[in-house]
Amino acid sequence: MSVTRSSSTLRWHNIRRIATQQPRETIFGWGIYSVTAVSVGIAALLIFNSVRFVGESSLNIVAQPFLLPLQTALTLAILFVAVEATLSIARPREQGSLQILFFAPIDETILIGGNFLAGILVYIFFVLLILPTLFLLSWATNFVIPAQLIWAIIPTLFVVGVAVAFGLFVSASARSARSAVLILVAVILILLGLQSAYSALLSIPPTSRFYDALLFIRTVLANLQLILLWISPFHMLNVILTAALNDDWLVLLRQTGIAVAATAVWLFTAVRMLRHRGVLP
Amino acid sequence: MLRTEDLSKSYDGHVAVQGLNLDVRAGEIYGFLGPNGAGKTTTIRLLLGLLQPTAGEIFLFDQPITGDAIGLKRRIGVVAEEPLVTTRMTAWEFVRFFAGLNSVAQPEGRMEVLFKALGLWSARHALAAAYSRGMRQKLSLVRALVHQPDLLILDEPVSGLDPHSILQVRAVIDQHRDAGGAVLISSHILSEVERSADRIGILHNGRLLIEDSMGGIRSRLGSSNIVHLTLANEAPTLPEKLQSIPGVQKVDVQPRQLAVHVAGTRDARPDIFQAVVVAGAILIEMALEEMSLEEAFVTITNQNVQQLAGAG
Repeated sequence: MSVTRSSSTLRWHNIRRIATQQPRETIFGWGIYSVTAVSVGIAALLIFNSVRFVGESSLNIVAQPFLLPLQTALTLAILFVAVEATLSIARPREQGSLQILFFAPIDETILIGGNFLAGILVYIFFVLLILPTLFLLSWATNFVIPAQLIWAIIPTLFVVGVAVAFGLFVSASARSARSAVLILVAVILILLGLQSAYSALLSIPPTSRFYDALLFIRTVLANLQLILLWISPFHMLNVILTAALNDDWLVLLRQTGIAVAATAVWLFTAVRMLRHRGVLP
Repeated sequence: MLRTEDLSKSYDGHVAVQGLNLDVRAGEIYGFLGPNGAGKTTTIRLLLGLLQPTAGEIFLFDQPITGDAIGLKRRIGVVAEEPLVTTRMTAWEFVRFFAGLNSVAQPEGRMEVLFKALGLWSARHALAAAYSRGMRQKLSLVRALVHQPDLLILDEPVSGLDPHSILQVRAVIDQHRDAGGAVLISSHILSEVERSADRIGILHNGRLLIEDSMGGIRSRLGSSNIVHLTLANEAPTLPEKLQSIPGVQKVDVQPRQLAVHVAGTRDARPDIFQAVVVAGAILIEMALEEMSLEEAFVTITNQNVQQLAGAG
């Protein structure tokens, strides 16, 4: 009854089994539909604002009305899959059910690989849910969605890869599901905090008596931000969508390459960390 | 099928398993016993690669598990003391998922046989998470057997089961053994192990104290059997005749009831029956009372505790 497979074929087979099983759990849950509903609401609000702006300013043009709604929706989707990935190992390990999976021909690489692909599939499912709404809004408002913006969704898969891989790394490292989510939230807050602090410092006028004292901190924050921008999926998303709209293929390719490299690093460290932490509670 | 060589595991200064040499053979049920904290669960986790040993080696099907662990896992079925199944899958989907992970082509036929044998057929489309503890335990056995493994590792397979379910589980395990598979059972329910195990290993403080068949353990412990006789009439010469049988240590006499204590594991019943006939007694009942596994277990583990105390 058992089909004879080589070890590498069995690995790939089981990565696909896990990758197709995990999204089922998400699809039958309410989380993804809540995120979709919020995304649709925000997108509709932003488009409505653009329509009002056109009406009030008596202008016949508005610059890229679908860029911000799509970017917001995809950002929420990336956050959602990152949280899912963050819980995907830590939660079953805490409950003690992860070890049952390891009774089957599964190892750390297969589990991380399966969960990674599962995250990508959930993101694709989200995009399939959100796209018809955007087309409906386009039809209702007569705002055109540029073809480049639709095509740009494809390279955003690599950006999602970074978020999922990072989520898996956190999940593999954390002691519990709660601490995994806390770590993820802390990282996001640090990213946002750095940006806000830098913006706040920029707004201090040169006439202020604190200007010189804060110049050093501003430089440090600027450099830190520069480093974080290289690894932040949200920045990557922004760069990719903008590059696609501007037909800047070089930037698009470079950013995609950075995303692939970051994904590989996070996946590798996630496997190592899971091997180190083990699958027992 | 399963062999360990000087397997040891220690963490945080505590020795959980020490120099363990296990040998589970094809076509046998091996009872793996030990009091709480003896190192049974640690040993099982080591065998499954969930923990890394501090020293020693594990061989599954004559291959060290450091090699092709993925390939070797396909030949093992495991039932552990499992927590609540949190998946949204039905029981049928749950087992089919694991059949898929084990590359079983068209597992439905095998699944039907197992679901029916364990009395889960009518509940197969219910959510696995909604199953009772006993049903989950049986579902785990279905999951462990769906890919027809060569080696079955069972940690407390009948705990929490009702008598009817115990019979079902026992039948399925016996069937696996009869088909040439090996079974390693770790359990606290000694009567269950005594009933089904071909060989028994007793673990205490991380060390394997004894490994033998039940008869072998009785023999090694130098235990005595008691033969209870119930007579229809008085036979004054019978106690004397019984006392002269080789191996008989003492005879307890009550009116029409005698208890003959026989040293070792020799079956003295033919000699006793002959003595009854010669003494002119009419025998109504003869019953053999052997040392139970529970008594053997307590004796062996107590001896170990005393040895350790002496060494200290």
